[in-house]
Amino acid sequence: MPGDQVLVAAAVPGNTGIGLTLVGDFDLTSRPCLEAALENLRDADADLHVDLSGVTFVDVGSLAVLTAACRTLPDGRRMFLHSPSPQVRRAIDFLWPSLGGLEIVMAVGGGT
Amino acid sequence: MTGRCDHPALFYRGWADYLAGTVPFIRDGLAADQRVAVAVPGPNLAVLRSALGGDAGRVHMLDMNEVGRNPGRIIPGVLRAFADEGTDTGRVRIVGEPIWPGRTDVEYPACVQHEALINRAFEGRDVTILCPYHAAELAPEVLADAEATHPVLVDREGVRVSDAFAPEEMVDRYNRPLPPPPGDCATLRFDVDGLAAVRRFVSGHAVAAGLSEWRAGDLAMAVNELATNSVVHGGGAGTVRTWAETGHVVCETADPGWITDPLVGRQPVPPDGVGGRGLLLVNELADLVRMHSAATGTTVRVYVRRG
Repeated sequence: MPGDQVLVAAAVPGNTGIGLTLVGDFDLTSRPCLEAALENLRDADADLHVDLSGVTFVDVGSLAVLTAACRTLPDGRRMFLHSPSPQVRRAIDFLWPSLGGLEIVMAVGGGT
Repeated sequence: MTGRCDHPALFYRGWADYLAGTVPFIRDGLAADQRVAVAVPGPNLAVLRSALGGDAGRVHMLDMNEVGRNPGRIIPGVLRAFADEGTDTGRVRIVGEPIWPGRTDVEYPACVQHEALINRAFEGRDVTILCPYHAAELAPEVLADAEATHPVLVDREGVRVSDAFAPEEMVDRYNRPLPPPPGDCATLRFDVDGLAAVRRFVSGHAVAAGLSEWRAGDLAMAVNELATNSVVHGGGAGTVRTWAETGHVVCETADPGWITDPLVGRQPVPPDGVGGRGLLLVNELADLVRMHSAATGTTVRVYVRRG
């Protein structure tokens, strides 16, 4: 049903590091879940891979949560966003034009 | 900041005036190694490009009809985008023509608010923004408004300080109740649990009215941000309405909140900043945004072109 979200912490195929897979619509109502999921992963000293290929909608607030998590990664660690929709990618490019440590990967499992 | 923003209006009555008022301004900037941008309607851009000859390549040239079709986008997407780009600290010069005879009555109030807000948005920065007005074709009321939104006025007679300069009053004066929506428009009440329904409502009606899936998705994304603002800042709930007009699909949200900072959605937000990005994205996605916000509530209307 639209509006439901699934978050799975699991490796993203083809990549080392920590994985988080998002499925469904992400808006104001799912923001606490997204924040909690990222908080749980924060202490791991590893790259963070987020698979957006199953995402049907992401609002600006959810992107703010993701980019905030990127900014608080340990030194030298990066966040990889896998398969964002063109609209999500455009919103990130527009609202966070110079965010360091963020990599966009257009195909899941494309490797790093 | 210790810089100074200059924001003169240039009243021109023909191409000779236009070029006499803009070309030396551009060339003086280039001669002083300053960064120069021109954002004017397409036909004027072509005339300027031709007059500048080889110098046109050193000027950032934009068609205001494209980049500034939505007046709410001009400060963040055109002026700040250019002024913030440079790493040097020298003065930046911009020729910006946001009001031309083809502007519609629906667009015009947003244009005046944009002109008035430039003064506050660039306060303390070394930027000169020269705004040409086609004095021979624009209505006298439009030129009177320009005298109130620009501290300095330039015409054939020379340069003078505007006695009518009152930008804050102009922001308020054009913060007007919007014309009522059509009585038979589609309407949906929402609260925090209704955001997904708002998106389906908007995209469904937008596609039915002829928008592409891509633009319908843009409109749904924009209205989702407005509805989220209603939930978070506007009393927790609101109403979304949508209808089709000649040329546009229109969507509005209404809630009891009051947006007291007119620059919200017109300023880039730093990476660690909180808030303000939703309206910024709305201005980026829409072909026109009109807003009325007062103690009685806030209505934001988003227009997306059909076809």
